[in-house]
Parts: sequence; C-alpha cells; structure tokens
Amino acid sequence: MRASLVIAAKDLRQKIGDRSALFLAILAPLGLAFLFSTMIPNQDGFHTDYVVVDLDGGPIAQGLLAGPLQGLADAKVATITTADTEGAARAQVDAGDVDAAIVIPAGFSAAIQAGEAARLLVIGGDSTLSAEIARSVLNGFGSDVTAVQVGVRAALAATAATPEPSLIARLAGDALAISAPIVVSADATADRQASSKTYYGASMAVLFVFFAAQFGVVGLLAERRNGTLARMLASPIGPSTILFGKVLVSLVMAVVSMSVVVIATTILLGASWGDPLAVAGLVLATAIAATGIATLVVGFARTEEQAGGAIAIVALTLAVLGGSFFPLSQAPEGLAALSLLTPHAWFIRGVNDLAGGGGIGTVAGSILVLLAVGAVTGGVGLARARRVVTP
Amino acid sequence: MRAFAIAGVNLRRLFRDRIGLFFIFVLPVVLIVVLGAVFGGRSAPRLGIVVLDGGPLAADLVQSIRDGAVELEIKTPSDEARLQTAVEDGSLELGLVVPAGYDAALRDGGQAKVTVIGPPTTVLSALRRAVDTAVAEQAARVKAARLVQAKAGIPFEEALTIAAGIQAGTPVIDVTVERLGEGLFPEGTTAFAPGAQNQLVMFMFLTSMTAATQVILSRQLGVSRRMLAAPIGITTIVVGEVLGRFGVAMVQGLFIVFLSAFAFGVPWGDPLAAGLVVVAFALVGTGAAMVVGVFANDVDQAGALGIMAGMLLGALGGAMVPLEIFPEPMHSIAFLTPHAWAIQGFRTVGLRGGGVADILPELAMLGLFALGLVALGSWQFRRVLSR
Repeated sequence: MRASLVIAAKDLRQKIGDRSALFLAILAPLGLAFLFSTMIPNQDGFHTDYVVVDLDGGPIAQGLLAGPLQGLADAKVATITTADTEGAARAQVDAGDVDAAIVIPAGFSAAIQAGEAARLLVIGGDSTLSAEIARSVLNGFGSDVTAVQVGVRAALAATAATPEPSLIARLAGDALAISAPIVVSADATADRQASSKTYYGASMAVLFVFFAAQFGVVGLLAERRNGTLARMLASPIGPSTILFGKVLVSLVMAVVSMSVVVIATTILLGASWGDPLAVAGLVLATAIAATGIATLVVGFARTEEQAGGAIAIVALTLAVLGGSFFPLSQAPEGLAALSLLTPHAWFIRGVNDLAGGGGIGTVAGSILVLLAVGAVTGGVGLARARRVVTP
Repeated sequence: MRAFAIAGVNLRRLFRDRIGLFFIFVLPVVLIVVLGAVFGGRSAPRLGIVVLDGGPLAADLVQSIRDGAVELEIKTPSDEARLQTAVEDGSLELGLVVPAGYDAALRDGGQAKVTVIGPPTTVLSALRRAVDTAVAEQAARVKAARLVQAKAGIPFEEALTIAAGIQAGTPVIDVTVERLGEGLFPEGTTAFAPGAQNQLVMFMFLTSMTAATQVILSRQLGVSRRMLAAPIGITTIVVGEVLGRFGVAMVQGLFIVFLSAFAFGVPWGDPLAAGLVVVAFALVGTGAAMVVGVFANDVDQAGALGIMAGMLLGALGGAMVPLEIFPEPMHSIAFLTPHAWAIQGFRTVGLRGGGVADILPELAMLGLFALGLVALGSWQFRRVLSR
C-alpha cells in the first residue's frame, strides 16, 4: 500500500511539471467551456425586440399597445420601442437592431368600428420565431376585438330581428357581460436543465477527463519500454502494488481535472453546479468510470502511442454520442437512447438533475451507473493489465 | 522532384498509422452525421399536448393551435406525467393539458380551464402566445354562441354552428407578415451542409496539427539529418516537408468534400471557388503544422498542444458552433482566426451560389495567414536543420 502511494506520488510530482498534462487536463476544457459560454447567445430565456409604428392613433390601436403588447413587455418576453414612420422601422429591422416591426396603418380603428376589414403589418427580420409570435399575438387580439361583433351578428341572424341601433347596443352590452369561457393557467415545472454556462462546463469536463485519466495507466507501458518497470519488479514490490499506484495516478488526475473545471467555471463564468456534495459524488464517479475505461484500453494496447490514440478515439466517439457537443434534449429520440450507453450522458444528466435543487439522492442513479461502468471496465482492464506488469 | 519523394514519405507514414486514420476518415463523418441529425431534424419549438377530453371542442382547440401563426412541432405524449418529464428535461419546450370535462364545461355555460406547463423561464411566456391565440379564437366563438343560445333559445350545438359561420364571415384583423432577413441560412439549405463545412475546416486544421508531430519525429529519428548528409539541398528538404504537410491537409479536405457531397448531398458550389478555399486553407494548416513542429520540444508536447490549439481555434473560429449565431464581440473576434474566413468562403460559395469574385476578401485573408505561417515555419525549420 505504502509502495503504491510512493509510486503514485512520484508520478504526480512529474505531472505537475508536464505541459502535456496541463494542456489536456486543465487548459483545453477550461478554454473551450469559456469560449462556448461566451460564443453562444444565452439560451436560458427567449427575448425579442419589437418596434411599433402607430400611424392610426385611434382607440383600438391604443388598446393594442396598452393590452397585448404591454403584456409582452410585462412578461419580459419583448422590449417594445416605437418609431414614427414605417420607413424608420423597416430600417431598424434591416439593420438588425430589432427582430420585427409591427405597423398599425392609419384608419385601423375606424375600419374595425365600422365592421370593415382592418389590416396590421408585421415586418420580420432574421428571427422567424419573433415574427411568428408577433403575428400570433395580433391574431389573438383580433379575435378579442371582434368577439362582441361576432356575438351581435350571430344573435341578430339567429333571431331574425331587425338590426335597430338600440337592439344592437343592448346585444353588445349583453355580449360584453359574458365572462371568459376558457382560462389558461400556467404551471411552472421544476427546471431540470442546467444553465448553458454549467452545461458547457460539464460537457467539457467530462470530455477531457478521459485525456486526464490516461496519464497514470498509460505510464505503465512507458515504464515497460524504458525498462524501469523491470527494475521495479526486481525490487520487493508486487505487480499489483505497481498497478495500483498507476491507477491511483489516473484517478487523481481525473478528479483534479474535473474539479478545476467545476471550481473555475463557478468562479469565472458564474456557472451554478448545485449541491457541492452531489457534484463531488458525480465527479468522483465519473473519474472512476474514465479511469476504468483508460485501464481497459491500456490492457489491450501494446505501446503507449497506441494506448493514447485509442483513448482519444474512445473519448471523442463517446463524447459525440453522449451529448458533449450539443444538449441531448435537442437530439432525436434514437440518439438520445443511444447516448445512455456513454458515461458522458449520465454525468450531464446528473448535472441537469441538480439544476432543480436537490442533493446526492437526486443523482444517485447517475452515480450508480457511472460506478458500474468504472467497475466493469476497470475490472476487465486490471485483469488484462496484470499481463503488462507480470515479469 | 526529390521534394515530392520527401512529401510522399510523409503521406505514406500517415496512411500506416491506423489510429490516425480513424481521426481523418471516421470521426469527421460521425460528427457530420450526428450534428446533422441533431440540428437538421428540427427547426420549430416543440409543444407537447395531452388531451384528456374526447369532445369536439377540445379537438377544435388543438387543431387551431396546429394551424396557428407560430410554427410548432406538436408532440402528443401519452399522459400528463410523461409530458411533465419531457418539459422538465428540455425535450419539449412547452406542454399543454386539456383536462377531461373541457367540452362539457363549455357546453353547459361553465368555465373551462387549460394548463400550460413549462420551465420558469420566459420561453414559457413567448410560446404560450400560440396557445393564448387559439384560446382567444375559440373563446370568441363560444361567447357568441352563448349569446345566441340566450337570445334565440336554441340548443348550444346549434348556436355554436351559427356563431362559427358568422365568425368565419366577419372581417377579422388581417395580419400580413413580410420578411426582410433571410434567416440563419438561406432557404432550402441541406441539414448537413453547414455542419459539413464546419467539420471540413475543423478537421483540415486538426489533422495538420497532429501531423506536426511527424516533423518532430523526423528530427528526433535523425531522418532530417541523414537527408542532409545525402546530396540534397536544404531548400529541397524544406520544400519536401512543406509539401508533405500540404498533402496531408488536402487528403483530409478532399475526403470530406467528396464524401459529404456524394453521401449527404452537401452542395459545395462552384468547383473552382470551393477548390481555391480548400487549397488556401490547406496552406494555412501546412504553415501552422510547420510552426508547431519546429517550436515544440517533443512529440508528446506537440501532440497535446496541437489538439488543444486545433480545438480552441476551431471553436473560436466558428467550426464547432455556427458563426451565424455568435453575438458581438465574439463574431468580430472569430475573424482573427483563419477558420472563420474559410467558413465564410464556403458559405458564400456553397449556400449562396457565389463565385471566385465573391470570395476575394476571404481568399486574400487566407493567403496572408498561409504565407505568414509557411514563411515562419520553413525559415525556422531551415535553421533547425542547418544547426
């Protein structure tokens, strides 16, 4: 045991001065997490900018501005500014200053009051969704303002009464008095999606942990090539002790790499990982899984170049399938199911689960799967790797 | 001529490395397929609807949402619990529950309630406008029907038919939508096209960077020194090594271009224009590989530095996440990398039908990057050799 620790400590001291380890275990994941979270616009909330041109100024145009459009602003969905002419608004959309323009033409209120067709114009820019939402809101407003009109006309048609002004006024009053038949209630769910900053931190941490985990066990092959392994075996140290020391180095490198990413993204990017104990559990379990997989690869490799290359292949393939490069929630169902074969998906799922609060119990499932991956791959790997150290 | 022999050795070494072959021929294809499937398959926000009422008014409301202004991908999970889970983990943006008794409540003059469920972010408020609009339309009809029912003393069913007829004939506010922008990508862009262009740039550079280790290997193994001992001029050796790097980058580039064109129907546009961008970017990769190859101390270091630099520059230059969605100032910063210029060139040629004349600025910038890097790399290589 002591001998293993001595071997591990010596290796780790060497790694501190090793620039390759620094690049792949620390700088690359941090740099990429930082780049992704600054490059990708914040997707944690939808927000759009509208410019409104009121060429009408009548009561119904006022109602539109004060009602549904103000409602969008109040819900913080849209920022609403105004412009004086359609040309000015068009220029703002063209320049990308706003996402869409809403133009209320002159005579809009008068047309509705006279029961004639009225028109509204939406000028959309690059964001399709912004224009669609504007149109949807205006359609809804249209249904509202014509509701009374439809009621009065339908009642007149059904009773075949003469449309006298006094009757119309009475029917309109009755129509207005009818309470809303349908209400829409909103029910906020728990949020089980990590913020995009946390997601990029998590996805890069789990991508590069495999590169970090290779440093210990791959060293076994290097020691064999250099002949230092034979000399170690000649001393009164058992093969298992040496093996254990190397695995320990991989595990420590993996934990350090992930922990640095977790801590640095929290401090520098404002990522919120959630309950520290649960995050620590996930990190440790993922490090064990990565170490297991690295050991498995070493068990089947002949040279250290081969092992390093194979680990990179395994790590990148699993990362692509496991959702390190895009959120799995966006993926087609088949791919989402396939991703559950990767440690990446389980780690990211755990981090997402923590976004809604909750402690280590919330991520127990993810941790168990990761530990199982580590146990199975590590077990087979160790059995094979003994062949490397057995004289 | 001898320079070509040196370059040939470089290429042969590349094809003997089985692990290297995976990175050149397999990984880019996997990425193009997966990213195409993820980003190409969907464009609209996803709304999950659970209808627990079998009545016609419930079906009418759902149809009205389907026909609405906001383009939505409508999913129908089997129950409320599944809907809830899907919304929580983000595979649905919004959920709608139409409860049992919806139809009856509207017919009996009562108040019906639908529930939208979503994460507590503003996406909820934006997308629920689609639901609100459908509700407003149906509510207007039901209100009119109730008025008719009271005034004419006829059953609700009959009153609703009259109201629906009148509503259809009443001039509502006509909302015209006009589009100024062209969207993120031009209409009709193949799902795989932006991804293939990005992966081309990403992997041409990454492969060049990993091939940088061979420059070091040539030095360490003493191949370069032995070549010097032969009656070969130092310039020939330098040119040979540069050609070798260039060949590696071109193999990678042409493989992705042809595979994506034939297997996934990715359009590359004018062959001359697209070819010039590939060549210019291959030269940039060549230069970068020479620079790393002469300045790094050992193979391990060059390998790690190469992967890191390749991925970071790729991310920064828009080869991982599309340039189109970068906010400022990142969009401007991206153009400090050759990657962004190459991607912009491929977009112009492949997606907008541009020719050589349309990509002169991109070609000029790539040429400058290539010239600078190749010059620095080969000057330094000559120095290392003649030491």
